Amino acid sequence: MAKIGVKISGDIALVHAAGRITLDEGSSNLRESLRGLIEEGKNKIVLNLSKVKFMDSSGFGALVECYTSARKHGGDLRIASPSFKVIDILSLTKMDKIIKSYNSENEAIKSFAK
Amino acid sequence: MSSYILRFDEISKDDVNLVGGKGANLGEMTRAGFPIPAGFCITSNAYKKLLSRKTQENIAKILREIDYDDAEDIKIKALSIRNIILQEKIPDDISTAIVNAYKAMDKGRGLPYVAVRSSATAEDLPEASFAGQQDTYLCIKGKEELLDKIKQCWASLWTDRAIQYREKNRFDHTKVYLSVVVQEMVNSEKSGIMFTANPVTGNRNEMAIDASYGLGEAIVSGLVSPDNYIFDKATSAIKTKNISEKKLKIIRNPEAGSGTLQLEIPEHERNAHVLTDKEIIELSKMGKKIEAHYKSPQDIEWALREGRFYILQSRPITTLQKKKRIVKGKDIWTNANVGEALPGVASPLTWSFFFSVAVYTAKNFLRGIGLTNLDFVDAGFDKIIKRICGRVYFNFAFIYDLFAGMPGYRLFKSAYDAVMGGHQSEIEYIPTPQKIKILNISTLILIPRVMIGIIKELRKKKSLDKDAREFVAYLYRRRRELDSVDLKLKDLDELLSSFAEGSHLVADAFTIYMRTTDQFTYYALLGSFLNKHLGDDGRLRNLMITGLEGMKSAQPSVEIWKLSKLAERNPEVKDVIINSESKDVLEKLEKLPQARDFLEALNFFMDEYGVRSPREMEISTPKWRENPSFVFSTIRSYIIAGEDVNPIRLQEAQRRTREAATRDIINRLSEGYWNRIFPWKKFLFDYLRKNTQKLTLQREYLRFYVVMAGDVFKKIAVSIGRILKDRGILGEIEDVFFLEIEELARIAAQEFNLETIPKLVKERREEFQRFEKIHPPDVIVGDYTPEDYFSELEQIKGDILTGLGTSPGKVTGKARVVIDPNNARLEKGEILVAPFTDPGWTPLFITAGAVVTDLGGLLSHGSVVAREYGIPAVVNVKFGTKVIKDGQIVTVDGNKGIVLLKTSPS
Repeated sequence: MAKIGVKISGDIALVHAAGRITLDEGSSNLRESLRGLIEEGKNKIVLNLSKVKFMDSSGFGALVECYTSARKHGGDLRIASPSFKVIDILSLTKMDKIIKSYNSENEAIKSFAK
Repeated sequence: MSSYILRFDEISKDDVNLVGGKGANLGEMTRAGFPIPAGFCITSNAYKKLLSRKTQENIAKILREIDYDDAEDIKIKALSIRNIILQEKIPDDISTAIVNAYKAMDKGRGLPYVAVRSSATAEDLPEASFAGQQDTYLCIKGKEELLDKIKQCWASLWTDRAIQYREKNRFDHTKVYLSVVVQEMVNSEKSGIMFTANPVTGNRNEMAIDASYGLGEAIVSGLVSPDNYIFDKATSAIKTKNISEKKLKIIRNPEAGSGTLQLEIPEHERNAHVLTDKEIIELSKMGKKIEAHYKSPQDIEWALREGRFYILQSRPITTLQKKKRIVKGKDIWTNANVGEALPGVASPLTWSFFFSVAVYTAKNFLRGIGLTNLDFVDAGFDKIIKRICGRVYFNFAFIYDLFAGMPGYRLFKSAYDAVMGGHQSEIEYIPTPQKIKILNISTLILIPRVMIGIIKELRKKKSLDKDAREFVAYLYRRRRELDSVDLKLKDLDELLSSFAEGSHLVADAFTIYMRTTDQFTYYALLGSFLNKHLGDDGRLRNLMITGLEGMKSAQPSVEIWKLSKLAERNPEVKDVIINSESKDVLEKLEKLPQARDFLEALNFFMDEYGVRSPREMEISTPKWRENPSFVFSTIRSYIIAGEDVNPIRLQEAQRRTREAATRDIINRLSEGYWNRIFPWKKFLFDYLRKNTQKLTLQREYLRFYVVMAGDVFKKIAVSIGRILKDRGILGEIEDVFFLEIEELARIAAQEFNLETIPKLVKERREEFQRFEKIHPPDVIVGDYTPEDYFSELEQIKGDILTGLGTSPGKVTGKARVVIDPNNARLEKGEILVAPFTDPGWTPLFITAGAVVTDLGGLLSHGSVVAREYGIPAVVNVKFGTKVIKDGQIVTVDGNKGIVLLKTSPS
């Protein structure tokens, strides 16, 4: 099962996702949580994916959709400590060249300060 | 002796520059003591001297003016160059030297009859083959006659074909010379050709001798069918004698004083044995010696006169499966297997995407077995897959290196070679076992983890069925959802997530498809089992995977057949399909009220199978849903051919054949007391058979869904293309296929400078067109330089194409050379000759009498489907589409793996 946890720290929304992000289990969860944040104006998002065991194409689609939406609202979505699974998907789809990702949550948070 | 003339006994094999390949060879054999009729060569120096500076300038001037696009012009200019040479007076010192050498051949019985032949040589490429310059004049006598024929040989360097050949292969015309061989004519009673290895089967333990009456020209020119004897080298026994009816012979013309004539052989001699057993054995001994001398199988012209054998010529057999080439420390690039999935020049989008997916799949596997640091995969993957002239090649050396040293490597390699097809089996690769630096420092810690990982992977095999079912259901669902979104309404940035999702979907499909690769192992093991216990040559093994129920790749034919039945019941629809151009059918049907039911069925078909196309892994090829012409022309040929080609019945017949063969095998394996008490053979057979069948079905099934996922991705790419076209950045939507996957991602993310696109596309289109004109071979060792490979096609001689027989049977029929299946029509019984085939071609197999493909292996699409329909197939003939003429009558022998180009009327 997918778990999505949200923490707000200053103007940055810290989102923890864990488990399986798939069509049936977590992709709409993830999409709705992130969409909600963006609608509230919390569009600087750090998405921690270290606990994601599996992400199917629909889950990944939701992630990219939210990235686009955050950018559109003047913010950004950055990935923190992606699991190997996520790293491989990012490089397969070439999203590693588009969505910024960082080894740790701290680095990702700091990157927004620059 | 001047430098213009060299007697055979003065020539060695190093004199190729002076006397050409043929001359050097005759010298070499004379020196080695073989019974070569006496003779001499007029060296290339003579030819050089003949061409005065002024003549050379004249020739050069004509050459500069040739319009190589105009065949007529080449002919005319070639003729004028030949005229210049024929007009030249042979310098006195040369003609004197020739006449003296000729006179020296007079052994007291007057000037002898001689044969005059050309022997070409090029300074830079002494061993290059020179097609079309094999002028031969037989039974020449007298000084004037001789000098005249020598001049004609010189002039033959300038036939239009020779000029074109040099131009095509970029030989410098001024650096190609000609030597002339003058050899005493053996007025033979019997003559023929001897192959020191069986040229049909490639068996090096056998020799084959062709023999007929009179001069050898009768056989060489194909005038007679000679006797054929097969001789066993090891036991010195004559294995088979095939006696033919020899109607004609060529003899020296006794009246004219020179030249030859054809003569009818008296009725009672026509079916006699040309050679006696004693003669066959004597000749074979000579053949063995010559082969030993050259250390390679030879193609030898021989003659027999007054009880004595003469050797007229010996050349290496080039069409024979080559002696294995030993390769060490070099890459072996092959596209024999990749070539079937992705044949031809790949578009930049297909290639970049394929590469990316392949890297992902490899990482997925390695992660599965417990490896974590996979930077080496990203860094080194281009050592495994790369493009050569736009085509996708796979490095076999890498795989061999990886597995070398592991248990079962030899079995693995031979199975791999056999199943994959291609010419890598002609290479003996000495692997360099991989140092396990992949695992670097933490190797020791990793070992248990990797072991557990491997066990986990093996267990996953069991769940393949379930995983495949789940994935396919998922794919249909996602496809429906993605299709319900009107991509046309989306803007670029909104397409980014669809793009990411689509590419991920294809990678998932491919990953699960790759899990069926085990099929090769089971198939190979089944083959060696049947070979060991029943002496099977592959026929039974292949039968085991024919007529399988639920074969996804055979399904489109069945569905199209059903559509044809529906069309037949509807006269208006039938009329449109039969009498319109395929490309206009859809439009006409849409205007026809009576066609509504048919169109509904067609849409239903397209929804599933419309994702298919020829070259189905190439994203730029129009899918059936985009271009239905092929479907309509297939419906048309079904309607015309009728019940005979009913694919349902054909498959049913194949199923019955398979089941009968299975029962027969089981019976044979159960013979004998112990086999009945302990039926382990039967159990092992069943185990291997069932796994092979299951994986074959799964592989074909999942391949279809890779294509379907690819089609989802294609729709997204096309949407990006449409937006770029609307914005005036692309000239046409299809230009999008000339962008790479990373560029598309950046474009959708609005992080790409769109102004640079038109130039990129233009350059890549040009490169694409350039690559399409180059045809690299299917196996390349080391780096590819087109010049090293140019002569392969020219080396084909004789009337046999050798390949791999992958579906049994022998059929003679009219060849149809098909490059684009969309425009192809195959009448019933015609032989399909194709560069390769994939599921987009399947319906053509219905009416085909046999199949010949340039590429392919035992498990490639063409082989599988041919077995399915029970028609003979010979794959991997390399040059079928180039050598076989459309409409030519050929014989396809799927048992022996050969295609006979010249078929006797009987």
